[in-house]
Amino acid sequence: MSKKRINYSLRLAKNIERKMLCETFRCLSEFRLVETYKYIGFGSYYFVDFALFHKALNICSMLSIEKGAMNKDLLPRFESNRPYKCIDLRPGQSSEILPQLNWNEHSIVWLDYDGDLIPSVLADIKTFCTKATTESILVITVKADPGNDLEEDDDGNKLDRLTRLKLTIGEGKIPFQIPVVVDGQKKMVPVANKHLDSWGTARVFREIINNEIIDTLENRNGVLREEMKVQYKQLFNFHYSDNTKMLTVGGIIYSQEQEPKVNKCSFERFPFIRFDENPYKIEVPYLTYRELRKLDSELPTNDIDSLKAVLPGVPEKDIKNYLDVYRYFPTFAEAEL
Amino acid sequence: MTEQNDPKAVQASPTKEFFIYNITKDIDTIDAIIELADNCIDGARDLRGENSLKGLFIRIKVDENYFEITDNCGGIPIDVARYRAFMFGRNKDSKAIPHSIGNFGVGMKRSLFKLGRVFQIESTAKNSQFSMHVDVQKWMGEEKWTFEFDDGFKEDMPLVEESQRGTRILVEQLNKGISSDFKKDAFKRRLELGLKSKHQTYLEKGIEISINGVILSSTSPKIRLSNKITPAYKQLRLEDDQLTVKIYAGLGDRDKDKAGWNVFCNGRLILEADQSSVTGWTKEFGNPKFNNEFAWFRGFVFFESDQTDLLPWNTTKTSVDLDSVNYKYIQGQMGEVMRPILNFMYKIAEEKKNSDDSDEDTPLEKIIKETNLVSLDSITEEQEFSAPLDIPPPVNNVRISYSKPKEEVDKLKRALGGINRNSELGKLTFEYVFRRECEDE
Repeated sequence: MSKKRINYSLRLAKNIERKMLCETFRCLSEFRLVETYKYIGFGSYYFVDFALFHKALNICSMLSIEKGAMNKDLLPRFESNRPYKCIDLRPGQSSEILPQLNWNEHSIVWLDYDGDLIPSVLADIKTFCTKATTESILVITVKADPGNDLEEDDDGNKLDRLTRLKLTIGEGKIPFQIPVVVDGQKKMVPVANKHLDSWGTARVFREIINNEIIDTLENRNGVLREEMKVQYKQLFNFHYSDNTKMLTVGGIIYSQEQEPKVNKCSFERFPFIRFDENPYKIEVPYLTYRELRKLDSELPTNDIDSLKAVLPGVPEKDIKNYLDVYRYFPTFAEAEL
Repeated sequence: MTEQNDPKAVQASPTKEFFIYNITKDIDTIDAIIELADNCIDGARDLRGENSLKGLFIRIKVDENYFEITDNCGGIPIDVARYRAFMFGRNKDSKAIPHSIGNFGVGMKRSLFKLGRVFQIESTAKNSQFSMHVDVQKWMGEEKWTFEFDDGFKEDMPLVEESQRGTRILVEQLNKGISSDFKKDAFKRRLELGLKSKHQTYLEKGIEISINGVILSSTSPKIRLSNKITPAYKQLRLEDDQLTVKIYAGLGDRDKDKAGWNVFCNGRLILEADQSSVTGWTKEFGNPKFNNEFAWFRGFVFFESDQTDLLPWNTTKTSVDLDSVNYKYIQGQMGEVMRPILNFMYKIAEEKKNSDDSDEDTPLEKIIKETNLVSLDSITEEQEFSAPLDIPPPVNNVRISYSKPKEEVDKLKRALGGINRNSELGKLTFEYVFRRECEDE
């Protein structure tokens, strides 16, 4: 039996996430043809998301914001890596480019930052929530690495996670209360340092992002008639880790009168959709190619026991994880192209 | 003859709509709530005087559908309610509550009108008890300007125990915008920060303020002190000793958002971290405009008076009254007090600029780090700001700087045994080459 494991440098969880997003975007056909949406993202050199959304959804209006391309020497490399000519490349920071866009088109915006949750991320969220047309989608990915319990600042002071977060994002952006589960009961409590350990940082980040969206939309709604008021429905709350802990949150904005259409999208049919603070954790199963193939031939099924019988010795957890993600699971093979 | 029949009469009375519109338009929701808390605090001070406020609470609840504030701060005596608390403006015969902070004859009503269209007040004081229900819409349609107690109010009661006294205000049918604010976590956070800073003096004295069950922590102002650096402290008496002013100024943490002047009136924060001409950052007082070099600066001014009309605040308590002669005088004093401190910070900046190692603390920065942050109460003697100005002149050093690719720098740092700072690496590599090329074997 082949012992060869999957190459984890290929960021499997991210790959799965991308396909889950893509499947969700397909539901937007309740509103209009998905191909009439504009996709805005950070394509980097690889443009993986752009390639997928173009191929799978036939989206042709595409804009890649690229900070690195501000360097004139690197610009040609970005341009030559564009997989399709419909991708418009805009050198610059998202916080400069997003406010300049005319937001007349319905958009799918995936701001896939590779860094932390910093004020400019919140500024981008504000721009989207102030300007984007309803029936648009916003997805935010940030690193949610809690760091060490205590870390030194430039002056040698030891700062805990909460203090560092306050310094980074500003005291006013720290949530007033966050939902936690105590003895099986959901409770709202003020944020404490202990809430930021492990995946706690991602949970608090989700609250900060959510608050920013709600706060901005409320301001926008102040001047709108009741039926035009803009609502936000969260669809994504992914936790995953290819190396570092990452958080993806996002959802759809729509006007009150479009609510029946939103319901018709039946987003809840996908097991990874999350409307609240409880995340969907993308867990990558540790299985060999041979095991994957064997499992595939038995799927779909919910009968774990029969699958365990097919793969004796394989941990149940990995089989279960695979059941959740198999439709989005990439198969890599070395190839010379 | 009634006014309407009097052919000579010209109508000049206000309509209620005009009145409500005008008094509510200049205050924002958070300030309106803080104003209601001001009234609770006045009650607390009436009860305890200058003593600790421990055991007293102000509980605020904000919800999509209602607003509620409950306290055990003494209650509103029925005669105060009847003749004063709900008057628009203060009756010229009524005396001000000494040393109060909620006393413009407009505060409570303004806040209630700002928040919603129906309010209900229940209060138990030393010898009395009442409840009152006001439907603003209905009231606006009526001729009379009075509110009415509900049936069953009590006067001349036997002494009610302190723990049983208090007030509960409930506002329902919240106004447009208020309800959506109350839903938002971000609003609650802003309210929390607002209450924490505006009432820091009283939180420090032990009153417990909570929002939806979350108890606010207190943070009292602090200033740097050591045997080398002492903050300025000045005490002044104005208006025949009716108005006391205390000025503290010196250094805090280096934080440009917190730097500036903080002005309090009877313990209530009016200006926070102000960096504008209002607090002396202007050529007029011989001072520069604020810039980041002054991020260490902290100033605190406390105006205290039993006669609240002597305090230099505006009616929404969000800024000082620049026309107040008392404030003008103190503004000049503040300008004087801050100048030597700004000069000292110029020195720090200059020293930093001349330093050959931007990562390392300069002698003055070291002196600052040796200080402790102490609370203002611990400074009791009037004194001028003092700090060493005779820094040793820089040795005859020159500065070398160059940039190199990060990967190479990191690689070299590792190779030399895990060096952290670029400047350290620079020094080490210079010395390495120097030993090889210039020193004898």
